[in-house]
Amino acid sequence: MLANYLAAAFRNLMRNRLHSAITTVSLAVGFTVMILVTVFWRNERTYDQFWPNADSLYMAMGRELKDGAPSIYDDASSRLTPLIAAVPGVEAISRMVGETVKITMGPTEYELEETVWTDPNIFDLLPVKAIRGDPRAAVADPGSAVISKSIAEKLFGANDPMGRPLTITTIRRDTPQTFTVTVGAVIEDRPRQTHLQPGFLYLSGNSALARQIDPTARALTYFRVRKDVQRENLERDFAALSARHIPPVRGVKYDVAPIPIKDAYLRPGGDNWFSQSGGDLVRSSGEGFTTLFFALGSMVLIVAAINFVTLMTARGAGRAVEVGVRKASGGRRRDLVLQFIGEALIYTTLAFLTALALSELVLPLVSKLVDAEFSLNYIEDFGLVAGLGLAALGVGLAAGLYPALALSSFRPAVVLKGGLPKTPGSALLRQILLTAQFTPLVLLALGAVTANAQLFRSIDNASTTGDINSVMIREPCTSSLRARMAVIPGVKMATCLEYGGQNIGMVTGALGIGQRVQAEVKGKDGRRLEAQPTLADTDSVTFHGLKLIAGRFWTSPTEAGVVVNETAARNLGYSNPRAALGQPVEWKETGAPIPSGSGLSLSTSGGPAVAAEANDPVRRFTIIGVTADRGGFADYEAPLYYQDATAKRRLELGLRVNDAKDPALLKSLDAAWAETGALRPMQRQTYIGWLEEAKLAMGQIFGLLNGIVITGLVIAALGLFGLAAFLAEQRTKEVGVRKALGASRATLMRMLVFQFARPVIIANLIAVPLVWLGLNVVMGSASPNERFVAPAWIYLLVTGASLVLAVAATFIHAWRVTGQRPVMALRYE
Amino acid sequence: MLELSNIAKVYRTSEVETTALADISLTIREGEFVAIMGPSGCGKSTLLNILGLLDTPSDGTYGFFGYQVAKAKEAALTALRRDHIGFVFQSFNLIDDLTVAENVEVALLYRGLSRGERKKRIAEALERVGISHRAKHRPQQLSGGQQQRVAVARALVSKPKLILADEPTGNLDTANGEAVMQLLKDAAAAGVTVVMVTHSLAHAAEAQRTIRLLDGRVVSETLLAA
Repeated sequence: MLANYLAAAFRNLMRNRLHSAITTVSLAVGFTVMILVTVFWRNERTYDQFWPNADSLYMAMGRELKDGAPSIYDDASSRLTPLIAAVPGVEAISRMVGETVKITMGPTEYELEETVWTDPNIFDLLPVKAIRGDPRAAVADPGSAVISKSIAEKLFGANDPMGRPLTITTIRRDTPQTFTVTVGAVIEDRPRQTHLQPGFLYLSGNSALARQIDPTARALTYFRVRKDVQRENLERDFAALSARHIPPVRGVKYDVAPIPIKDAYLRPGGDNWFSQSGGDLVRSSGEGFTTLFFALGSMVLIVAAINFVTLMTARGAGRAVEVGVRKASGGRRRDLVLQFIGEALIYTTLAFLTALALSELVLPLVSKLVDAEFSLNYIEDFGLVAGLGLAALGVGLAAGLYPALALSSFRPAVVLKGGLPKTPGSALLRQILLTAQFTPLVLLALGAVTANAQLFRSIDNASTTGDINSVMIREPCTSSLRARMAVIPGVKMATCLEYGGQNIGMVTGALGIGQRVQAEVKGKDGRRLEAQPTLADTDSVTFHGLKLIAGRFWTSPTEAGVVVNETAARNLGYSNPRAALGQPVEWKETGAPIPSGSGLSLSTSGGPAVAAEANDPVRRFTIIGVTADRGGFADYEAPLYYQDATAKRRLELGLRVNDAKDPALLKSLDAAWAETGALRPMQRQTYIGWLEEAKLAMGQIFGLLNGIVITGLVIAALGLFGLAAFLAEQRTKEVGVRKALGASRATLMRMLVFQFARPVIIANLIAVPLVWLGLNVVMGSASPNERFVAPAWIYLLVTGASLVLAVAATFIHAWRVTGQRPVMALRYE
Repeated sequence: MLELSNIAKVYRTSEVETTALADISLTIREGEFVAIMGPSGCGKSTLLNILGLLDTPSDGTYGFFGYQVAKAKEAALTALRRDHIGFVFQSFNLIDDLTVAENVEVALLYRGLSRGERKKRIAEALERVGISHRAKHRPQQLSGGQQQRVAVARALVSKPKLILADEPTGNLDTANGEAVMQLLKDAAAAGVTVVMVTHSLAHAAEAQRTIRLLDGRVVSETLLAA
């Protein structure tokens, strides 16, 4: 019996090559996406599991809390170490404090950011594999250093590094120090699956230099707890510790939290869903992204499975005789259901094998795109591959069940007489399934285009503002430094200003990656606007290229007053820019930079926390000018500039230059900094460099998002193409009759294409209002900097593109069937 | 023996009620070759479907070799079809994706026979209809006459008690029609009950009895040959 079933299945598959190819390819692509997201998911969720006692290892993380939930996290202050060590159940604690150093090897200098001062017991908590020497002894010795294999190769090539001297200079300190240590041990690099960068240079925390480190400095703080300690209890103890020792700062609350080391990569801030940061020493990702991509991948798989259902049921007519004969020959419905499910599993198996092959091709590309190493090893990952295979079979089974039930329900008396089989509701179900297939895709496409447009608009806007050719010197703006920089060739303007305004951070803000709001500004009738008030003067508004549309800028350096942009004026409650002039605004200054490791106001005495915000100034100003919007997120970024001679904020140096990417100019700036007698390198950022980094980071995320949406649309369009082929064939006789009765080809084309594309039209009718409502009603109450804006062209573009796709997928079949002569069409059957 | 008593078949939709068969009472003996004739729409195929347990009557009783099947459940009807009935159709109804031998095998698949037994019976059936040299061919590679012979082989291979043939020669030329009729007569001669729907007076004349239907009723029965 099985041979007979297999013969029927394979020959049917070969006879309907187009259908088989569409079914298999779309399922294969769906499975490929499933494999990719699963490998991605597995990769992201298996960080830091290899450590011995991984379940008992934690990091201490300082966090800024917004509405009680962590919004920003950072390494904890070193000052917290004794307090954490005293928490019940904590057995051992160890820290690493980062230091950027320069290593001088004869004439060659190496800058090494992956350098840490560490407590001597670090390898007890985070063991390493020794290649040469004894790492534990070496890290306890102030005269020794432990280096990872990659660093040893970088510094010494193939030579034996053991006992060799390293001349090290701390280059980020105001007073750089140079000292020499010898290589006491060489260790293997860490596996990639950890939040820590693979290779470190370890310096002993026992050294005198280490003791010079600011006691509040941020430290990667690890601790091990007794195995019987429950995480809930630990969290409760840390919450108590935070309440007792970490007071709010300017209204912002902070805490220190125990983060399991297994969460250090994916959830370093606890429940910070889309958190994504990292630094010189650590890497992290966002759980939200992993979940988002997993959900999107699942959706593509569902789209492919829907193709399977619609195509299998649509081609039921072609199997009607077989069903009739088998039933007339005594085949039970159960036998036929099993047969057709078996066929579904054959398709599924073929698709899964194809998907495995496709994954081999695509995994390296995705790895490159997101800068990771994704791989699927069939032996080592046998369980995962088997699980994926079973999941694929499960999908095949689920997708094959309805077609199997539908096909096996044909009545032999009807189909054996040549009648067309009718499965009650199957045509309606196909319409519903197609609509269900396209609706989320149109929703996602709208979302993706909106997000892309927002990104491009912000980048374009940022690129066209004067800020694009600026260099931010992140050093205190002294008059001498300003004057020296101003005369460097290529520098057009040098001004002191407060940074915070000119970036495209709102792109990430609107994607929920975490955006700080520094003040809640009160406007007309108690209206509130979340904003980042930026200290400014006449020079800085010129620097930013702001253009007045009402009122004026400050007339003297001592005049207090606020200049807002058009959007801010509107959001403060003023109907037009002129109406805002002369109106009062006020805010409480809560936007101090995040305290270093939440330890800024640490009260080690154990006394009650001081409500520091009580001393925060409330700033009250009058709006003196309104500037034009610059378009995009920049309008929400820094809508509020104020001048206040009494404000004591950190002013840094901003340079407007001819070409911020000119290496000669940057070298001249560094040289001018060195002339001031500074011993460490100048901290500077170019706006364009920042922009490019942001573009790169967002490009990775958008690349994946767009890729998944396009894949889903292509699969759905393929399904529509295949389905239209069957439906057109089934309408052949009807077309013949209509033509015989005088219908023109154009009329019939319109009728068929409209009918075939109807689910896509319905999907748009559902999706477009949902997106509009979502953006304008649901998100309408959100602060402007957390909102997406979708202009009408986006709706038109997505709707138009989806309809063109639908028409393109169905046109050829409609053309073919309407092109037949009536006599041929009527002879059909 | 097939015993139909006051069989009626009524098709109902929400607005229309169509009587396909009314008050049909018939007895067909084992080994008898019966032809059913009548104009299009008179209920021939409906009667054949009821006889073949592909459909159930709206009213009346039907004794199928001793089993009362008018109200039987689908599973029981399926089992009886599997064990006792062979079908031959005007449009052959061969499965395009299977070879000749595999098409014939379909009639044996659901009977729990061993593969060896199935192969033996298929070979015999194909030999009997003179198409064994085409066993590996697909239906599209055969002429209409050859296809119908395959269909007859499929009907015969399960050694049924009853063969139902719905206009088996309707799509064939004279020579092929005669060949198929001979196969059916041979089956009847071997003790198989054969009920054939036909429009051909000549082919009906080769049956032992001809039943004429009009508007869903039996209007005459003619005993033609012994």
